[in-house]
Amino acid sequence: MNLPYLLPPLVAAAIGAALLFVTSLKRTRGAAYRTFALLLFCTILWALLIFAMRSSPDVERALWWERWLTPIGFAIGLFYYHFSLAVTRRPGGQSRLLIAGYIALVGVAVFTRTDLFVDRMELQSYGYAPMLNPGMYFVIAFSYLLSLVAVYNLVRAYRSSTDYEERNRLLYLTIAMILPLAGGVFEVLPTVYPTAIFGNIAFCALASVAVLRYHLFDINVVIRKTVAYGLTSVVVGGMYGAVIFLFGRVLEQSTVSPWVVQLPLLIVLGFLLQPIWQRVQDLVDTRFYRNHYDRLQALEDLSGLTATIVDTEELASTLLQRVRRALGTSKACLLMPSVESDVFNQVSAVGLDGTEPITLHRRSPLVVWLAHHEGALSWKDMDVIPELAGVWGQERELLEGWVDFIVPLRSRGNLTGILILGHKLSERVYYREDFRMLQVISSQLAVNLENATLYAMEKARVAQLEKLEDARSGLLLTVAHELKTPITAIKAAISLLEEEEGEHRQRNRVRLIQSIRRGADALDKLSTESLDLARLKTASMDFNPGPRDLRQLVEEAVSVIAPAFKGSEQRFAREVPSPLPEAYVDGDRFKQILLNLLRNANKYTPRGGVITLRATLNSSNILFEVSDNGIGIPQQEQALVFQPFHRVRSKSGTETAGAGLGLAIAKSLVDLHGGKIWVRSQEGAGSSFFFTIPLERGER
Amino acid sequence: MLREDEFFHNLSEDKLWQRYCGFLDLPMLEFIRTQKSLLMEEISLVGSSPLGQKIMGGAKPESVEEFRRLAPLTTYHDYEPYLSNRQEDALAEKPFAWSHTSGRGGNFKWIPYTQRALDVASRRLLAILILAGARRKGEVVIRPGDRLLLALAPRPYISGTALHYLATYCFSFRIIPPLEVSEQLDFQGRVALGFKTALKTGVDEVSSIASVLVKVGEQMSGQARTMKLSRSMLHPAILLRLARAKLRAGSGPILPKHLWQPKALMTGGTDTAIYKEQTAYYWGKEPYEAYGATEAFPMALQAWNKKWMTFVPDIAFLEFIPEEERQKEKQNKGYQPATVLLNEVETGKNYELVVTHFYGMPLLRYRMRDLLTVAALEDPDTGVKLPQFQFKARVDDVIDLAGLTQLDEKTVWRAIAESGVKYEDWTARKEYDHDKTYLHLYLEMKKGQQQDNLDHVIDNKLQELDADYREIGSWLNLQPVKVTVLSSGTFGSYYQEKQKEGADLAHLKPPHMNASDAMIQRLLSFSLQLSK
Repeated sequence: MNLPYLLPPLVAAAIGAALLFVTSLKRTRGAAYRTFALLLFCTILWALLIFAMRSSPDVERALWWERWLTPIGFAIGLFYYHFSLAVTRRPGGQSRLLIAGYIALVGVAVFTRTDLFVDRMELQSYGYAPMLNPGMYFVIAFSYLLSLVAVYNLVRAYRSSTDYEERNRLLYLTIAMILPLAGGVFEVLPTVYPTAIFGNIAFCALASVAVLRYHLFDINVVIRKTVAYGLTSVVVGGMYGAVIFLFGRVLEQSTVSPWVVQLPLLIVLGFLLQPIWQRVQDLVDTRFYRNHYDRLQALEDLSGLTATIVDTEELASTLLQRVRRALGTSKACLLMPSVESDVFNQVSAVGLDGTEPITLHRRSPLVVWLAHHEGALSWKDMDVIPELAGVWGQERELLEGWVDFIVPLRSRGNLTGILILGHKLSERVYYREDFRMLQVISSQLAVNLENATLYAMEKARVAQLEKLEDARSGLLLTVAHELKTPITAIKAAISLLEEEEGEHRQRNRVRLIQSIRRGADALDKLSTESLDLARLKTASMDFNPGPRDLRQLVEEAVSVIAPAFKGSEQRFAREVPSPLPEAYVDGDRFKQILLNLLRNANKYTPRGGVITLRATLNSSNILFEVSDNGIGIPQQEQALVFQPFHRVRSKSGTETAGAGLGLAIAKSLVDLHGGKIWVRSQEGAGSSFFFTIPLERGER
Repeated sequence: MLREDEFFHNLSEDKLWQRYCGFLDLPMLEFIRTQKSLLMEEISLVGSSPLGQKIMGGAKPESVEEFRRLAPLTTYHDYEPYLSNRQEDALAEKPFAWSHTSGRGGNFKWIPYTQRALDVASRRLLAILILAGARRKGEVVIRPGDRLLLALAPRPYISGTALHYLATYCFSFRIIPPLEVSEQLDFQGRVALGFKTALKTGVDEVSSIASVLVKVGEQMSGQARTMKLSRSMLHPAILLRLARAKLRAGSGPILPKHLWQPKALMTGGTDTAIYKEQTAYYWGKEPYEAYGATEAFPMALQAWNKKWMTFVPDIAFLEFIPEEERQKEKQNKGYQPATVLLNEVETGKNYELVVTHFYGMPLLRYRMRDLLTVAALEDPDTGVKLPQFQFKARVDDVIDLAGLTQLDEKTVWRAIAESGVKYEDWTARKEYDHDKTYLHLYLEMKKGQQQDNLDHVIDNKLQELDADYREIGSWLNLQPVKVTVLSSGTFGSYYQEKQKEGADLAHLKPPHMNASDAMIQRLLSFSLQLSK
């Protein structure tokens, strides 16, 4: 028995039958499934007839079987073709060829028992070979024509498909269809071993995998993996083999048994070559999955980068550069909603030099669609999705011709940006992997873009407020400055009046003059404080820091305020270490801080109260504390006490005298020294104001 | 390769269906959103054109609601003289083509079509062909290279303009007879040439005025059972077709359905519904109906079940005047009726359609003068979730009897047909007996046919068909139908006279409803002559 001759048809039939069974379990309906099942059935039948022919006892019997093979072989070509039409879902296309094919099949079946196709069989070295007549050449030519058109259909569908899985499936099917065509080439030459049966075996395997598992399989990965592991095995295995071989040669003359040396050697080599194996594996992986690595790298970079960028334009530009690099996109642009108008404006673009910036109206069907749907929009689908049938003409003109995909960037249900991607530089289509990456990027970027937009809005608002504050400070400065001149004149006039009174004092006039002086002093104080505050705000205050003896400055300040404590019958305690180190301060301004806090304590502490000044030395700064047991500050007002013109309300609801500038000035001056100021207070129990002065020279 | 051809070559059947017929799957929200969006574009396009400014009184609405509040309802008169003079500089966009109406109302109404509008119309025409041929959802049977037999009005009628644009720029049909030949011929010549050519070439799709299809069927069924072969028919393809038809017809006469098996049969004209059953009988396929007019084409399409019609979202912005509002307007001529949108219509009610063009075309809130009935708010058979419409009548074609009933052409036609009267043609109008109204039917019987007591027969049938009509007799104390039987050949003589005068296709026959005094007088005069 010639097994290599007889066995292949049985193998083909068995594989075909198994696949037909498995395929039927899928219970898929539709023309594609029906034609595929028919195709498998004919393939099985053909393989069984081949087996019957090959196992025939004589040429007559072989000829009898061979004649049945002709229509079945032709039917396989015809079903290939029909299957290609069904699987590519072509609307009625090429139906004439299909009808002609079925008519031809009937004809072939009718005349198959005649000598039109085969009239005899010959015994060749490998077995029986049919002697073909002209009719058979027609059958073969027609069958090949149908199969080639089928391959053409699949290739075209593969090229026009943007669906990754569909492309994969079609690639499998195309290869599966090419193999039997190649296998059948030798069928017409009786002197060469017939190979069509192997082509059919390969077809069954590949086509069934494509149909059954196309959702799971990536043929590129399969090919790459095979090559990658093959290469790794060759490199590492080669080294392994070479070492074993060399040792073998060295030990050739030795009396020691080779196993005694080679077995430990194998184990040692296993350990030694492990790092090399790993390294080669890494290299091969990196080389064969370069795109994958690049994408992951780009994705990782993008995640890190965009999270730290808060400037919208910079973020947009970075995003586009990275996306372009990751996807190999020729052109791309990012649109973001305009704050001023009802449009999405182009904020950044790559590869679109010299073209008009793209603007999409919020009410445009395209934007409306993007705002309400998930996932990227293929430009091809613009012509398919009914909601987009009415995309505005002007917008369409701007995008037509260069756009492949439009990706909505949505955060918390809002459309925060639109990413528009042009064709790939490689002119290939975008794959499912690209979409997956885009999906990951888009949701993350949408959040970052929204944050950046909010940050930009906040920044703009702060800038506007600062502008307003500057204007207010400017006005305060002008007013205070303008008040200073008449107040000085009033005070000079009062002094003159006092001098003129001399010894001839009249009680009433003195009272009046003293009243005017008190008013003028209060006004002078207010204008001085306002001027200081305005200067601090507009950074125009004279500030001359230098190394100063803080102990001395404290003493000077206390000597100024002491009469006031005395006048209010308040007890003043000082807990200031001696000596205090020198600090880098403006002496007058430092004293002003202390005086403002002490005056504040004086003002809010009842008669008989205690006011304490403490200084504590830390490693980097000196902490001053001015505390009192006065009326205290309500909890809700504590955060406001350093704001200009804020005056604390007493429990009775009355405000204390003063403009409410002292603490604000103190805070600004502490800030100017690089320190910090804060308050702790309990209503009815008193307040403690703290401020720090850095020992080192600070930055202004 | 033409533009739409490319889609047929590159898209799968599912995607093709979605591209052309996907509007049937739109939920109401998306439909309205698309409409509003396109309307806002239209306002921005038209707002600055002289004609647009004239209509909107210089207003520039910022929203759909504002537009509906500010822009008045318009008639063709409001666009005069810009459109009749075809003043392109008054329009927002330069038109690609101009179409005119049949002029039944007196004058032609010229309507400009921009290229974008024609592109959209072409897509919808392909949707019509696909739906006409589909037996189930998603089935696309048409393809580039198909043979389309045309028996419709030529350019500059809208059907001719749109089909010419479709065949020239979008989709490679093999038009039968070829457009360059057919446009040189009169309508009769074109129809004759078309069917003659189709005998040789066969047809994949037929697009025709319904009455023509029925006429062809009637002529063929009236012929002798054995067909005489002329010399021009001695062509192998014709002979083969005839032989095959004979086999199919058996002992009966050869009908169109025996000669051709078109994949799709589209009918046009307001009388489509009237001829539906006859067309199906002669052609073996239920005719497909779409609703459109010169002012906006095509606007509503039947689904594949050929039952009701669904509006398309991207041809024009749709508003509907409810019946009550029309009544208020009747009572107070200065009253501007309020409109509702598609999502506000109610089942069983009649509405007058108001359209606003898209794509820079000029008509804004234009009253179409068509009455439509909402058959249902959705079609459970097809799963279409949009309101389903039926064309009821032209507003001007309705005969109002004493304000109690409104008879449309279809009802009158059904009354005649179902009463078993063998007629040649007819026309009906409202006439007065002192201060009482009645329906006067002028009817020409088929040659050799005779029937007594026709008034009574038609009256009975109308009572069966129209519930409101039943009440009239008792209210008016008079039979509301009067029938005048015209002599045999009256309509034929009228037709011939008009043809000699070089009348346009639309004016060759008097209208079925509300013919003018002059027309009626002419018919009566022919009838008198023929009776002598």
